[in-house]
Amino acid sequence: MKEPESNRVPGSWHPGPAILAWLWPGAGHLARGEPQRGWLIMGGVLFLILVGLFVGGLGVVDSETQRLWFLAQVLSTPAIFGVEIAQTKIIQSWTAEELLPYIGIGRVHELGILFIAMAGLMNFVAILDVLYDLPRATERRANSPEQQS
Amino acid sequence: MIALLGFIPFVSPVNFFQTWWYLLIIPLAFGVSVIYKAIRLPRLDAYWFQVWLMTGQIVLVMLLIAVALALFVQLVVPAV
Repeated sequence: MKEPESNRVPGSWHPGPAILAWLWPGAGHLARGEPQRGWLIMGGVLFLILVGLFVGGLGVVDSETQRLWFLAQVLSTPAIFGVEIAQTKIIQSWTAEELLPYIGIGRVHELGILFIAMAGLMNFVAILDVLYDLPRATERRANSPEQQS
Repeated sequence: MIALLGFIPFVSPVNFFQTWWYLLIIPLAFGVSVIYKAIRLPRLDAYWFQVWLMTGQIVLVMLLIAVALALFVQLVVPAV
């Protein structure tokens, strides 16, 4: 999995690790030989997703009523599609009366959406970081303790 | 029937935060800082110090903006 340091050329593109970074947060950095950064990104993105779901409930991921927010949320991981499917199945299987206590409203609902959207947007930054090596990023990686060891 | 089961984590919302919603700025700022600093820092030696520093900066600046906006709405707008 570890990419040799000689492959790190300023201005070079790495679509494979970028796809991995979208499939699972931090996986792109793990594939590029930066395990410490990978685990930290994974922890941060999953923390934001879990707090968002915990605070706002399943209703915070909804491609029907919050399409633009959903586009930001899905940048975090395709697992968001799973949350969307689970949410849709629950809504379809419950009656309106049963569903009422589980629908988030007001601030709680908004903040739940925001948490997962921020997870997606921050993971997008991580995807860009592994997709394209800027000179600064290459220098940073060359000087990192992980690469020196 | 299902309504009687009460709170189900990750399915039902936490309505406690309807009142205390602004406290959620702390975990939000913390999560953003964890990811940002993991990407941005050249070396990870002082990583957690940098994360808590950025978290504090975000919360403090948001607090100052909130105070400034509150003063603007309460004092400046009525005087215009």
